[in-house]
Amino acid sequence: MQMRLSGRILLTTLDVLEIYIPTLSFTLMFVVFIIEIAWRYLVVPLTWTMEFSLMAFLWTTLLGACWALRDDSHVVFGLVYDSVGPTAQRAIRLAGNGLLFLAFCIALYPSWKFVAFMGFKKADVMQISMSIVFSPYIAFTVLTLGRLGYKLWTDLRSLAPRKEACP
Amino acid sequence: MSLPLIIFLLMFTLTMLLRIPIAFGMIMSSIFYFTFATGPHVPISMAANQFLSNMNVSFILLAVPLYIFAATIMNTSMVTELIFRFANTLVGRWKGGIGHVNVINSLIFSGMTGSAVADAAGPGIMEIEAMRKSGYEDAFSCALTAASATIGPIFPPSIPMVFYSLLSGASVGALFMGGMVPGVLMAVFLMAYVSYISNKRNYPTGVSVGFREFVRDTLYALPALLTPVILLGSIYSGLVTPTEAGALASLWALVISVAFYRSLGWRQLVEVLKSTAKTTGTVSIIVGAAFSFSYIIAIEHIPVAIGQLFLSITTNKYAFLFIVNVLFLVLGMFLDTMPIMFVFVPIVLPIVNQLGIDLVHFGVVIVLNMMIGLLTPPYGVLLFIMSGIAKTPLKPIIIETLPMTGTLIVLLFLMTYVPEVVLFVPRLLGQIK
Repeated sequence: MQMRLSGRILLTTLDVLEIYIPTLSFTLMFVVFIIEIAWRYLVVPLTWTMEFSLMAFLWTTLLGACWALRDDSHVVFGLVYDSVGPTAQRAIRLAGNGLLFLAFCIALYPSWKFVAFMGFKKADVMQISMSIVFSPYIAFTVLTLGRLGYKLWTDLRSLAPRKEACP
Repeated sequence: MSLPLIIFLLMFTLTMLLRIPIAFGMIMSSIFYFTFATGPHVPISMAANQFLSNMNVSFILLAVPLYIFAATIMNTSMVTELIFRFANTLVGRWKGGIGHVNVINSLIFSGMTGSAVADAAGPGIMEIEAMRKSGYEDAFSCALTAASATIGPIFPPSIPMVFYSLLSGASVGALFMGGMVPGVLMAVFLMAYVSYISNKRNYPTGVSVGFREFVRDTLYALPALLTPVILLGSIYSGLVTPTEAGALASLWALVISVAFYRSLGWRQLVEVLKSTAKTTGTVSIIVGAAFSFSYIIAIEHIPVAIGQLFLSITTNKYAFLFIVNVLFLVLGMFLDTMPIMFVFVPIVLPIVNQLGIDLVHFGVVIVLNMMIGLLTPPYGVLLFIMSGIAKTPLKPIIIETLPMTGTLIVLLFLMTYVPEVVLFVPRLLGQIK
């Protein structure tokens, strides 16, 4: 029961990070654009809107990309993969995901350091720390590592010999 | 060639061979390069640095999710259906009527969105179904729908032209204007082919619509047809930037779908927003990944080396354009438009500048070239989409697409060697000298 609850919490957290936050970011970006145009002609030009839109766009891109990784919606070059059998396809997946996993592991700490370092700077108008603005990059790296780890684990587990059913 | 560069190129090759998502493969190649490279300008964190610092200042890129949003609203609500009905009343009575309707429908739809895939996956379903009902072979219907979908990013607005503007510094407004005549010519060329093949195969003449019905369909479709007028009018009157125009077009599409046609409920709207966020993730992540990729290409002086190679072959700009067109057509057979745009276009841009070729002219030519790549096997995304939608084998679709691809290649070379085809409208409206 405890496991089920933790599993549900994990899935909900993933949905929030990968689906709801990018959807909300994009919605806010769209609304802010409309406010920007309306205010320019009806009231007074706003200065914070561009900064906000860029930030929302960055968040939509990075977290939306994690969502797309979940159901393999990214652009791939699949000519070689599609022309081989299931065993070779698994080997290709293992090699590809393994390389990606290694690269993202290498980059995790330096990326974290860079994002933390950017905290010295604040957005010109909104005065938000750039560490916060750039923080989805860390979420993107960690979520990608998690997703790749899960894919590697699934493929590796399928390599293990199946137990014969008892006569 | 240095060891980090060899590793970088090897990793990008493995990205292709191991079916790694292109964006993630670009990031991976950059990380491995920075891991092995030495010097103050190449720490591993440079991959994150290039991604974040550049994405955070590229205001022009904000147009991308907004155009995606507009296209998704159109495809979800009944706007596409109305435009199709309007196109049917316009040209449906001709010989091969539904074929012509398919092309006109794509041309109108392309004035609202900027993506060939959105055109193929949205109105494409309706176009194929209508052609099937009228007795056209599935393979021909799929081929024509795929070919007409390529008008999407040529006739303004255009997502690939936004990317090209980011890379080259050419004005988005001028690029959009430059695509107007070529977009209409693509429709004319494809309709000429439809006429020829309809006579040869005796395809049916569509139903002739009476004047009263024509007026009714036109008036009912008018709010939808106003979308490109609002979009382009607001840009060229100087009221809004091309990026803001994407928001205006989306708002207009939203208002008419919800309030006028009453074809978009809250639940559908939430799904549209979710779909836009995901598509933005798949498209824009490639742009972000390409920043560190391009940084490495620049610090390794690859454009200089390739430029020297090109210039050793020829210094004649017409010969250069011929070579580039052939090279990009070959690349388009194997690669998606995004890697071509972000890996290969920045490599040839310095030579384009050096030879004095107009950046707007080159941009429109290269975007059409890449759109043709979406139709050419073995890797033609539009062919795959059509095959999936119509549940039709790829081979007959490919065979039917070949003459249409040939027609578009003729237009490509016409545009290449008669720059006025592209530059006439931007010059007329004072966007370029």
